[in-house]
Amino acid sequence: MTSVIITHELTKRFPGGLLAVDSVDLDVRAGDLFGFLGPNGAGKTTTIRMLLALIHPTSGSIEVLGHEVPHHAQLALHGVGNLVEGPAFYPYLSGTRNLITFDAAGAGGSARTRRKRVGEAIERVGLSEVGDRPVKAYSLGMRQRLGLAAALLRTPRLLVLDEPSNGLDAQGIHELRTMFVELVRNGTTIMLSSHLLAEVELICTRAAMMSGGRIVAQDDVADLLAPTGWVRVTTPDLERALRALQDGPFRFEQVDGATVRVAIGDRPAELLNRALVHDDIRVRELVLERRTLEDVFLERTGDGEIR
Amino acid sequence: MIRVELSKLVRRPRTWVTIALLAGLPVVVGIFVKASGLAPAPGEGPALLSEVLNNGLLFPAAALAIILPLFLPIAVSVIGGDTVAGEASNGTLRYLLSRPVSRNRLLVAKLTAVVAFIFLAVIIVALVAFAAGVVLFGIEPLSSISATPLSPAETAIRTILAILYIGWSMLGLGSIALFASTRTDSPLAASLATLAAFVASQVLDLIEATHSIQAYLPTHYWLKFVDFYRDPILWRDVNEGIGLQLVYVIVFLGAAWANFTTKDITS
Repeated sequence: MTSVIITHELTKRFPGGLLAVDSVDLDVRAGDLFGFLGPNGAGKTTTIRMLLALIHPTSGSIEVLGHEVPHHAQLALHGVGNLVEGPAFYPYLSGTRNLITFDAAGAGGSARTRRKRVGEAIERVGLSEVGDRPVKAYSLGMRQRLGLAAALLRTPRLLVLDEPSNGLDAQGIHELRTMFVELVRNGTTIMLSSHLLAEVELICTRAAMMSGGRIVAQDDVADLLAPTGWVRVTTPDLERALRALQDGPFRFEQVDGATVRVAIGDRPAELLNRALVHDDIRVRELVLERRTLEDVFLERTGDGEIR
Repeated sequence: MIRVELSKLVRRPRTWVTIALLAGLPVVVGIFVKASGLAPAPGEGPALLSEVLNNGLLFPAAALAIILPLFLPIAVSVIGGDTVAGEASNGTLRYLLSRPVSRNRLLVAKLTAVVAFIFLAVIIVALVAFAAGVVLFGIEPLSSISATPLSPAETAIRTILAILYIGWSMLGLGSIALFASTRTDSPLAASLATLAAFVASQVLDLIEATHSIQAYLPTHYWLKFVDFYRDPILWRDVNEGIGLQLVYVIVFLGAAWANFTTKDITS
């Protein structure tokens, strides 16, 4: 897999001494739906701003779509759509006119196809009916949608989105997820920052977690969420099950009147199931316990409250 | 990018409200002068206003003299101070730069928009004043400010020169505003800083103790545009004014450029 974002020991110390980003090595690969996670103040936005050449790194290197940033940011950023710290527009212009203005800014957006592309982007985010109204009359959710439309205007190879679901209702968030999955299927790489770990868990293929300016975990989501080695068994015959387990090789602990957790390690769960059924114990439910990203984060940071 | 900035300028209601106010004030003054038949005595009040009762053709020049000492610089400070800081405060700066638009290009486009605003304002004020002058005071074939009379055509040419000079005179202040605008994320702070520079220059230009530095103040030669209405044109001070503005433009644009191209955009 080719990498679309690589940073090496990326560090930003702001004037005044605040070390916002500390030796960050990121690796976002083509085709990833990459979750960039961490509590507020972890350094996610500063990192993203460095990727977009808005903030100059103190040290370390950045490569975006094969071009060095910030020196060749003009080349790199051509293929990048972004939404950083909420959408922003010219309030006195209509939604459509705002997108036309952004598209006309900088090279890359062909003037010939501009109206068509703007129309499509507006339609894609479901704003066709209000496109001609001034943005100052838009709700927060509508602005967020328009911000996404702006990011999608030039069909970028890479989307860098900072908290894209802010201000959207449940329906909007669902539509957004569907859109992301569809975009990735069509070859776009998405880097998505969020403080909502559960949201990322649902759709992301890879994730990095940041805390206190450092990366604390970076891996495939499937690996981060690997089974814990425990199985949770629910049965109406709990007492007999406990007795059977006492004779077996597994560690276990009772959870409540109908549930027991069994440590099977990396052995297949069906062995346990077969053993239980063999003893005529009725198994109502047998579930592999998995970590959530929140568990992983708490594990890696020791404390670190997720807000 | 320049086209984008110009389009934003003309689509922004604020631009036209500002210009309407600038153009409206001289008209109001003109109406009162006409109604009362009282013009300031020569040498008092705004330059040339004493002459307009005799000839409406001079009213554009008088109108410029009315807005030049205060209202035009305020407008330039507000528009100029808003250029970069305004984009920063409403968040659009980060989206423009990550489009990507190079910082140099953005700065040039912003400067162009400020220059465009200045000339748009000055030209519209002059045109409105011309129309008002014709209606209120009529056209005289001969107009005199120095001993020799000027033909209407000659007056028109002099007015165009004056417009160019006044526009150019605002560029120093415009550059200061642009610089201030790259220093802060608050358009208000940038505009006020520019106004402070303007007021300081005016104050220093008034007192005798600072005589030695007055020729270097950005506002010092502004009102010398009246020299275009002398016959022959008195070029000395006008030339000084043009050169002085150029120095301010170079210094403050350089500072704005150095600051903006290395700045962390955290807005």
